[in-house]
Amino acid sequence: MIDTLTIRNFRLFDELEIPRLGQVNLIVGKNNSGKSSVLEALTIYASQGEPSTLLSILGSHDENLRFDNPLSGSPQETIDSSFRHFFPGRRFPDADGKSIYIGDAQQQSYIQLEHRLFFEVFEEFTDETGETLRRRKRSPVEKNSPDLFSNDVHPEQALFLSTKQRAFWLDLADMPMSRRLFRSTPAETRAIPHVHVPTDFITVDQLAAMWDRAALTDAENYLLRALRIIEPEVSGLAFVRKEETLRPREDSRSRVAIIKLEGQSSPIPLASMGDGMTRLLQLVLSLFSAKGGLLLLDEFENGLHYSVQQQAWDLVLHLAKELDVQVFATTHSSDCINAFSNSSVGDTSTDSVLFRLGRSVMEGEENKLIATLFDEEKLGRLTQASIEVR
Amino acid sequence: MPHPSNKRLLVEGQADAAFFTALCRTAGFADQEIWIGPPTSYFQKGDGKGNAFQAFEYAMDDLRSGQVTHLGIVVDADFSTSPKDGFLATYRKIEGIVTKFGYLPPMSFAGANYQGFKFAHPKKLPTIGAWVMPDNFSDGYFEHFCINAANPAESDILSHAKSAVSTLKAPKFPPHFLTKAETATWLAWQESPGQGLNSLIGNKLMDTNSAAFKGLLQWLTSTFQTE
Repeated sequence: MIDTLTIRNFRLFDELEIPRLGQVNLIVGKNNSGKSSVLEALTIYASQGEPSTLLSILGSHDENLRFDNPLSGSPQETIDSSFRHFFPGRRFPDADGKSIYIGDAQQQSYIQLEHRLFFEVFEEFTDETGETLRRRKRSPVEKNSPDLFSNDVHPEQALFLSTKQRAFWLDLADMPMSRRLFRSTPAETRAIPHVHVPTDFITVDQLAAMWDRAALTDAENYLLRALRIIEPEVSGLAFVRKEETLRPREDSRSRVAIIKLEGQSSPIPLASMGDGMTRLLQLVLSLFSAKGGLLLLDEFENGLHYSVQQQAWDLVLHLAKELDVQVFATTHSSDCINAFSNSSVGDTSTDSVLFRLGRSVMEGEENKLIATLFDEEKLGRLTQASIEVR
Repeated sequence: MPHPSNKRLLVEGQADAAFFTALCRTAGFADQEIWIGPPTSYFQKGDGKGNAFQAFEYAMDDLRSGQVTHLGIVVDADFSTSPKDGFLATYRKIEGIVTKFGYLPPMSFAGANYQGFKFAHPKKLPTIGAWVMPDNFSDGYFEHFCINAANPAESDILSHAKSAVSTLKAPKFPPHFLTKAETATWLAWQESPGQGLNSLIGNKLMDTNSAAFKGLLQWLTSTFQTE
């Protein structure tokens, strides 16, 4: 569990300090206050800088698009600069030392991403058979080094990623994506299990894959309980291969969720019951998939009518504790905040925290993004008194 | 509905809130321009003063983000029957809350009498206003303020109310609630008997030229009109 969160030099954040986190955390704030960026930062932290995770985050915002100028002969154009989007102002820092830092100061656990310049040098060495071989070596160079003053000097660029356990380079030299992915070191063993549920729904095939791990376990009971929040008559759930009668080849690999309702002889597609059912299924399957790790939910209320949100939160709070999942969710909705508040006051065994992201008006830090914390007691009292916390 | 106003005045209860709603109107503020709370739903636990302090502290937390732009608190000094009551203890409690958020205490108490307190922030967060009833100097209640600022035209009925209360052989209320009983009796004998403290303003029962009334009005205006 992450106890505190510090994010430095990432996206909109110069420095964001959240001194206390709960098992379940709801993030609120106006548009462009960095709610989703906190989820991204946590995803990067949980993956411990796994390159495919970084690329997938960039891809989710189309930030992996290339805008190279084909008429320019500058060697700089051969650099994939997509990663600059992670840095403040969407630029790689002009000076060394301004690295992205995402970490838990209390546990001294972190991931750090630094944009570095280096020269590629080749070193000769002799192997055990006496053969002379050459090996490639990076020779880092400071960004303000006099060596860079000449126009003829074109250093390579890379991201230098470091965690408590390891450090590695991610070259930014232009190369096919497949090759880069191949070169990246798998970090799954070091990563914290995490599931990111985006604003839109995750695909049915992803849900089906999660279901395959959950079927006939305790998870199945919780899934049914979740679906009964909206439809009390649900008695069974399964994923089956989709068989299109008219176009059998289309989506032939796709599966579809079906549910059984009490008193009905044949099952019906889950999707026909509305977005809320799919969202609840997604919530519970994601919680089980994130067991022992992090669940990151963008816009919790998506697809959920306000009248069922408290039951949904009740279930999330219960399962978060049961499965040791730390949940981070965002919302814009005051109904969602009220439901979260009621659930957290009702379930004191699960530590819940709301934090609001906003911009400081204090002299010396004007416009800096800051977090205002609301623990269960404060949130409960303010929402009870209809005092706005958004 | 959550209240959107970022000007917040914290008081001890609904009677005080009704008075300040009327006073805000007198000072020229638009209806609901200043959120006066906390509301009744907040008072399900704890005492009025404790709730006001807690809601005040929560509001302090929202100054840095600009969610609260103007903030004031009005609480009774009460009597020094316990270490947490009386003027000095009440003032110290407020001072303790604001200094925790980096605010500076006033250099001295001189002039606070009927002017209230102002706490400034070295990094330009909004200046906070505090008024300890009755006069930022003495022990007592809001009702002491009301009687101190009573319209001279009310002197007969008020002195009659005082003497009626004093002649009670076995008052049910404790001695320190004497002024509350006197004010309630005074209000009980008005044209429309038994109205709340807000009727002191609406029914012109207060002397708007008294140092007490003018001081409070000026404090309210300066706390909530500054940019």
